[in-house]
Amino acid sequence: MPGGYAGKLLRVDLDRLETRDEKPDEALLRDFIGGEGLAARYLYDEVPPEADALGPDNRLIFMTGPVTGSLAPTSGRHCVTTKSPLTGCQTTAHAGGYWGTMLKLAGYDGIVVQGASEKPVYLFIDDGETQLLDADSLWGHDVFQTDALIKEELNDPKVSVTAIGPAGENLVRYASVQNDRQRAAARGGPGAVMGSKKLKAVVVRGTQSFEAASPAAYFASMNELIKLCDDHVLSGNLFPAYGITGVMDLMNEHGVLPTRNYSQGTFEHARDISGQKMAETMLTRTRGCYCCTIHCTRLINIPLGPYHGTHGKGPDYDTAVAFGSQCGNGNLEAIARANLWCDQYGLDTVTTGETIAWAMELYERGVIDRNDTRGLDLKFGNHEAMVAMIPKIATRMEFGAVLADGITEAVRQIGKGSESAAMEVKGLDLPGIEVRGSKAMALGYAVDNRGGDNLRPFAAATECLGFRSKELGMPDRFDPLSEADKVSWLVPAQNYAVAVNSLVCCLFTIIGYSVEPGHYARHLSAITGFDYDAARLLETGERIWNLQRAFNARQGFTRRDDRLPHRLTGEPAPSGPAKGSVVHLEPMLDEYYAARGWDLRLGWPTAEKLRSLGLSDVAGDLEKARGPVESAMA
Amino acid sequence: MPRLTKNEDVCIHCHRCESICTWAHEVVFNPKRGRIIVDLEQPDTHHIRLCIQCGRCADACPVGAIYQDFTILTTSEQGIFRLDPDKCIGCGDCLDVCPTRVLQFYPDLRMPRKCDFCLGQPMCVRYCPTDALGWVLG
Repeated sequence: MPGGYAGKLLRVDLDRLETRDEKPDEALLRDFIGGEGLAARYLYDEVPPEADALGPDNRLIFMTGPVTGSLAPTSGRHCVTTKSPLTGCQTTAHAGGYWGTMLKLAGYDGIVVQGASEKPVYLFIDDGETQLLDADSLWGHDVFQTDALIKEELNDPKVSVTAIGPAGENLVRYASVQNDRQRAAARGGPGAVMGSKKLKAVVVRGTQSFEAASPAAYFASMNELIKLCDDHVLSGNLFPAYGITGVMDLMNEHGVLPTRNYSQGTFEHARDISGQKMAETMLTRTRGCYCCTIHCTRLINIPLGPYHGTHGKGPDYDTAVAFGSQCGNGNLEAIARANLWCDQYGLDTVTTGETIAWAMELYERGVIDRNDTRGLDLKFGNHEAMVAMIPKIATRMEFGAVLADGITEAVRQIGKGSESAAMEVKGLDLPGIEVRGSKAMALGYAVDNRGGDNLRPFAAATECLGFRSKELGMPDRFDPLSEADKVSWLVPAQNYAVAVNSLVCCLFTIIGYSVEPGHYARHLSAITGFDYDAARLLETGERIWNLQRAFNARQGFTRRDDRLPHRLTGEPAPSGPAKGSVVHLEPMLDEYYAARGWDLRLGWPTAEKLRSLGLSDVAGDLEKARGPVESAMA
Repeated sequence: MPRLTKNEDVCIHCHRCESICTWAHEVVFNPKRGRIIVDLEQPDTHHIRLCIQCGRCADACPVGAIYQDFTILTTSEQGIFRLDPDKCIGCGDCLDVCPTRVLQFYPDLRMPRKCDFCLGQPMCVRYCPTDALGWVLG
């Protein structure tokens, strides 16, 4: 077995309540690394296109990578991959904390959950021994209580728990899977899939060591990574000092801070919801995930006022945008409370906030009124109503029942032109960048494999803040308002981001390109013993990206789904540096598909492209799927 | 007389000290095998357990398996208290007297893992990202 891996995967069959060990093929590890990549392969192989996301045929895959649990900065991460109940696409949600490391130490690289149990269970992995235990007494409890109850039951405060809250149990389509209480794998709603399988929690305790293939080379490379992260202005300075919310002011100045459901790109209270404000008012200390030098996690305490008792992890950037500027709310304490409640109930903070922001716009336009919201005055800026909506969504009560299935489904229920305000791509609402002021990001939203998503890559940091990668062939200057010259660097940047997601390392090491592909390739070679260089790492990323694309394509997603809401392509931005600008998406899409080697009409990977990446079987599958899709389009 | 110091207020609970400790002594990855331990008290308190080289474990050891290494002098003109794995019988008497509860019994070795200050170059201090651990001379 190559270094860095535990060498085993755990398969959990909840139909039969059985578990068994599997050994992943070495060639598979070489081609897909681990994390997002390996999980994408398992998902593609095992989930047929017709599978219901909330049915027993769907898989819930927890995956670590070779770097998880090692000494590199940000190595405490794992991912949760599944077919999303919100979008129908594949979704891979990443989380930090300590759970992934503990899973590796317990002797497993990942867990593949299939089937569905009839009654609530939880999985306990104790140093290679696994048990499925009864979770009747845990069902209904929130994430924090579940964490405490399990630790009490097992009589060990140091086990690591990943669990769903009431939102996941109630199949809210954007429920999160929460590990170590406040670390969330959330986007796309893996918590609902876990709830549909009646799996309340996965608890791990591990003490087994694992090794690097070449310790001397590993140690040198690790020291290099630490220095690179420490020396960069974002990962070594701004993020440790102010968290990711520290960029709030910058984003506002560039006019890319989405405000009031994307109606504008600047927010008058941006400073009030920033990391700098948090540091002045409520910060107690900071925390890092396992082995992280960036320690962006803010720990906060609000001792007084209407939101007193909010004590724990503070909001990060996308959360602060969703519950802050997007809801027209400049009250940071309310954002902190919303964040805490989402973590307790097990909800994706971003989707919850964005969905409430959408409802607020409908309320202001008169599409819905007090009768619909059951008395809640859901105006922009009314943070009390905003916070009050969270438990209602998690428990599907009153107006929460309408919002709990996501924006697309809510549009179907409400009608009355509410779709014109729905800011989503493929059913996943748009997170924290207003893309009329950042055109590469606009393209990124449109084509991402999990729907509207700003992380792979975080192109706004490149084109607005000017953080260039030296190895990815980026131009010397960027014009964020122009559509020209974006595809040439966005494609390799996407490949790089998805490769880093497979290691698994944190994207905060590459937002400002603190770490370049060559560094990570060297690191990966040292830990696994495989021979990677920068080109091969990027090629691996490309293989994963194409495979994820093919998973979506096989279910009928085409170029028609690579779109943006009309507001971004048809209504000029009203204020800020991007004033008057709209996104011209179609020319960028043509250029993008051509650069990817994809079919321009369908937006699918061509057979030649897939074969050149060693995905011949996938090429065959797409060939079969092509006929029905083309006749449906005609 | 050098010694390890800690500042729990700036500790970020990243476990890097535990992990680098295992790496320095055994060249594997495993934060659960460190000679220093970091605990989390929810929601936001971090505790560091470290060896203060007090020598109580040496006094308690029935077979004299913990000896003083005078490579450097530590607190009270003593040497570094180190564990001789050939002599240790795994009785656990030292665990009971450890004032910081950093000494733990490890089933894989059938004995504790004892901090040796990395003989004057403590790796946990060098790799702590926030200087929550310190190496103080005098």
